[in-house]
Amino acid sequence: MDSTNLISIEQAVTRYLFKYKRMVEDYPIYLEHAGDCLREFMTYDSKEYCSEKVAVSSLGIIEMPDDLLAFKGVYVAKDGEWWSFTERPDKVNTTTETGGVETHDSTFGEGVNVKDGISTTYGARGAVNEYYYMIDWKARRIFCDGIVSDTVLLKYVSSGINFSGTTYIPEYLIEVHDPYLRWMECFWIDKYLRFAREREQNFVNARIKVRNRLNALSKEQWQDIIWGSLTQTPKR
Amino acid sequence: MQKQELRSLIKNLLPAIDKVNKWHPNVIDAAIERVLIEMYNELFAENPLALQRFTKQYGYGTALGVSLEGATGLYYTTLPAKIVPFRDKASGVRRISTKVQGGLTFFPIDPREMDLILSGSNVDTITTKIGYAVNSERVEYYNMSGTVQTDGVRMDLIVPFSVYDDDDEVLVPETRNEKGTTFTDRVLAILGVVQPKDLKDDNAETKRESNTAK
Repeated sequence: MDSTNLISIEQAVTRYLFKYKRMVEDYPIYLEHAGDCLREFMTYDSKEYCSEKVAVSSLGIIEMPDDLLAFKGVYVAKDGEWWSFTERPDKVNTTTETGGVETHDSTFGEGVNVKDGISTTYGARGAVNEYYYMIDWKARRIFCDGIVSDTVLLKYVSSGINFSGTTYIPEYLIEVHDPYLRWMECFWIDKYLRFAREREQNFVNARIKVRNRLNALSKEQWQDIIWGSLTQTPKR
Repeated sequence: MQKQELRSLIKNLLPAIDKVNKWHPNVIDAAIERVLIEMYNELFAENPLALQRFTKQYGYGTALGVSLEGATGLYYTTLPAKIVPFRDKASGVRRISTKVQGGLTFFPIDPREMDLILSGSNVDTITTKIGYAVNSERVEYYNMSGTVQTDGVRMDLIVPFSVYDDDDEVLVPETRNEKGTTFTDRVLAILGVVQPKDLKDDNAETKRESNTAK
């Protein structure tokens, strides 16, 4: 069996120190930058995301996980697939505290379900959804509509940095990780400063290479796309 | 070469300053110590990693204990011997390891870095490794684990010549300064300026004996 696809971020850094004969005393600085590299990769390049079952409170609120960097969607299961909620940025996102308990004041529109316009004639545009959501980034909450006191699926992009256990990175990320550290070390090891521009370019090239591979489609995927766009006809 | 052999070598290379040529061993040791520290620093400037070959090992038989200072919440180990300080973070403590050999567990750290890491950083969230900050009396730890605290640690130290026992092996770096002088040249150069009258008391038979016994 080949080596595992995941390695811990600490292992990636110790391997870097070993490969490039760097001082162990700079270990925490390299690790700090490795964390930044992982976060940047997860935010902009990776197709990886977390799918987590989360609770919707009785007020229809989902508390964001600590490691949520970017939101992908809220879903409920329907016919074996995930049915996504639709964003309604203007949904009311306040609550009222009564006697120390958080509640809704419906006279202020809190907790009131969004009312869809209904057309009974031709010419109606779009569609309506049973479920909506509104994101309050400041409060790190997601206000749901059409569902309370239930469990939904939350898909989100994580920072990749694990707060409670070992932080792992995919082994192929070493291609980006090492050039990133080689670039960053130019800013605290004076003798490397003159290589900063060159190393930045190396990092960009490595990043493009990994992005290309992540976004590339296999032969079967291309086949599915092409065949999916064809129309069947009777065989004559 | 053993400590006593090094001392003897220097003594036999010294010019006879009186009839009996009796040099005080402490004077010779002090000169050797000064030159060795100078050479360790030259080696450090050339390649800090090379210092590892000149360390004295502690805690290999019985591990060195790790204590918790209640008032400060700091974990520390009292240095088992005096060290030669260097200007990097590890100073004279070139390496700390767990009792049983494993992967990298300890890294040298500056106390100010420790403050910054603890103020909120990726490192503080991610790392399972232990930082060590060296001062003149003890080594203080960041992120000490329960297991390591229980088991104790091993240390490789660069120690002054005076710390070695007479039968300890003392390795001398083969470095030359810009004038091309070797270890013995440099020690002899120091001892060469010692005035005979300063050595007179030390050369007294009784004092020499007591010093030798010491």
